[in-house]
Amino acid sequence: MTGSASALLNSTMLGMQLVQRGLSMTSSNITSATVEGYSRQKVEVFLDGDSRDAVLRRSYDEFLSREVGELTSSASESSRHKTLTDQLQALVADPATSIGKSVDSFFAASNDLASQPHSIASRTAFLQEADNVAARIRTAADRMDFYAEQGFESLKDNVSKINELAKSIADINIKIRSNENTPGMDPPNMALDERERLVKELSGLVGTKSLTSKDGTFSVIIGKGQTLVQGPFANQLEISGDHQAPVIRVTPPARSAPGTLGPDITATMTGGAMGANLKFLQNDIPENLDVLDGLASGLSSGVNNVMTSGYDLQGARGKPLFEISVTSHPASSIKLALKDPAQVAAAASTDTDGKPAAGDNGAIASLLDLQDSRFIKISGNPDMTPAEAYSYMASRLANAASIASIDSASRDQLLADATGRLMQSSGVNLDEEAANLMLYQQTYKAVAQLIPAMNAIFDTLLQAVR
Amino acid sequence: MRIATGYTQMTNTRQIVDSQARLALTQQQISSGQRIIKPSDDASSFNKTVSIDHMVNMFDNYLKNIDQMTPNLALQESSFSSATDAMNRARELMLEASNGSMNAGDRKKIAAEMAQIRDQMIAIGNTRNADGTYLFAGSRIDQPPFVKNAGNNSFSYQGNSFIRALDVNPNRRVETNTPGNMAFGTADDPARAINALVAAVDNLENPVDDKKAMLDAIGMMDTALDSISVATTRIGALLNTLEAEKSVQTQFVTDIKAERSALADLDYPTAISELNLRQTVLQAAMQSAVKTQGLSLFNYL
Repeated sequence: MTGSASALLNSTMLGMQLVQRGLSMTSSNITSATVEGYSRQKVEVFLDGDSRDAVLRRSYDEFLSREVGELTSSASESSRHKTLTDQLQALVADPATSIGKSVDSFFAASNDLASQPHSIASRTAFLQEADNVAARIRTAADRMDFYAEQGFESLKDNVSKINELAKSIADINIKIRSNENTPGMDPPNMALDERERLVKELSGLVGTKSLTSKDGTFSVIIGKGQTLVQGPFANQLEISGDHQAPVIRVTPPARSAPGTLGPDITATMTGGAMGANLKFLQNDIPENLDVLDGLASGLSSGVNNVMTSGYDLQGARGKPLFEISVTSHPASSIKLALKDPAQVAAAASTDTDGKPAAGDNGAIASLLDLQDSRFIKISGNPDMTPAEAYSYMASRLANAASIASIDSASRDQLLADATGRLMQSSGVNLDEEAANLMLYQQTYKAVAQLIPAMNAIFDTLLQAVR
Repeated sequence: MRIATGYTQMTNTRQIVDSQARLALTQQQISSGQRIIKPSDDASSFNKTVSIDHMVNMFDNYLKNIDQMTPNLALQESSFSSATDAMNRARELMLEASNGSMNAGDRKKIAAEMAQIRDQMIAIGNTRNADGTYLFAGSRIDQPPFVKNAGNNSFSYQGNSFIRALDVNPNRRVETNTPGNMAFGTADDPARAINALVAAVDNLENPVDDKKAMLDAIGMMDTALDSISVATTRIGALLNTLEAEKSVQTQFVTDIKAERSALADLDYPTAISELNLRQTVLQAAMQSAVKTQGLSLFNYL
């Protein structure tokens, strides 16, 4: 190598520039140390003969990042599911106000009526307890409906956030495409980190997979294979239907005829908060409402059958005690059909005067038999007693909430572990940066010393020539 | 291994938040006295408490029934006992009267006592419960079962043969009343006991000494006494049943309540020591967070 003065100067300047890059990297790392999604940057130096070049590149592990994305999705799904099942189990949490207690109290009132069938006070208490059973069942059904409506609202919110994120990711793709891989330029680190953060946020909302194209842009696929973002293009989701039948579609292509519906992708939307909301609306709510409906219609028809076989105080054929609407859910419509205590059909037969004997409790005795009879039909189960049906409902809700809680805790832990691994590779360690800072300071001082040294050399040289 | 500064912070925060949540749960348990705050805290124990609560409610009914039936059956028993005494005394008097060596005055005395016994039997047959209903009327509990027939002194039974029964355990219903015709009558004459006394009094008040009518009346008393004796035995058996049921069920309810308490109630000593432990853990987590975050090379620059 032939040294030349200008080469010396060049390499000095280059050295100072490299050190400055290093300092800039360190300062960026320090100031962003706790910024979520920030990837530690490092200087990459290229040697090309005498010339050197340096770029700042993110320390980024695609595999770890993908793992965090997937776990974010499942942790968010189970955390949301935990919240939802937690709400539902409140329906059975308090033994004093439970449906089970009200059914027991109804049979207790029946028992009292059986020993005093002629007593208006006992008849009144009997009607009050029957009314209470109906009210408790209706309240539970209303509450389920309310939770479902809230779930649907949350789903709408998910969709609008997913749409915003899709646009943002597509926008960033455009920036990245124009900046990535320009020789001699830093990669668009901030944009890459930002896109990473957006994809992670999207993962919290719905199961998300991202694929990197050659031009550095991301394709984003959500749920079970629905493309949301492809390079600069973002699809949008639409939500329709209601809390009983939510429908999610992709917006149809721009050139479609007006009124064209995009394809229904509801079934493919798994993972994330949206997956949990959908599962809640499509499985948890209908399954539990089904149990409640079974209890409401079974109890209503079982009790009514007995009551209509008996006789009231005046000797008239018994009337049904409960009524349920045929057009809506039995559980949300069950109500008391009788108001007059004299019309309670406690007796099994009429006497010579056409009225039942005052002590005839035949019908109520048959009603009491129902307490231990398996006549409640809940689909997929053997027939149950009313208490068994309630117990089934309570344990279902408790078990679901318990499983969701355990699931959520374990997925949270998995996510925390994976995040830890990602941070180990991409996160900033301030002590490391402090050490680098010192190194660059020292190097800068050393390189800077070269300038007066060169100056002295030039001086000596010039004097020799003079 | 390099540790990112943000990771240390994240881990510290997580540990503190978790410790706080655990501490809050223990505090909640202590202030409520309940081990299970939400069903999902211990789903299998919660599920058992649901079944136990139902059992307790059911058995409360059974015990209530037993407590209500016992005095009622006891009232029947004492009525039968009085009826037996009365009928036996009437029989004695009749034997005395049929002795043949009676003068008109003696007859009159006996007739007076017999009339009292007759009225006593009518009163027993028409005994009322505490709530004013008739004890021996079958299901026609709102009207007196034994009434005098128009045109003569005889009585008839206007109750019916309805037998009420109440549950005393999930598999057993116990009869709780004795229809008057069953206790004081025969198949031919549902008011036999009263009518025997009516016949005897009529006979004694009749100046003509009718030996055959006397013997007939004694015969009627004997069959009536048989009925009362059968009814007495039945009530005794029912009362024994109730007594046995009550002691078995009281024990059962005590046992399942204890089981429920073991499942769902808080064990305070354990909970208090857990509270202390969790406070210590939280304190340690906070202190270690402060210490590790204070460590930095920048302090030495």
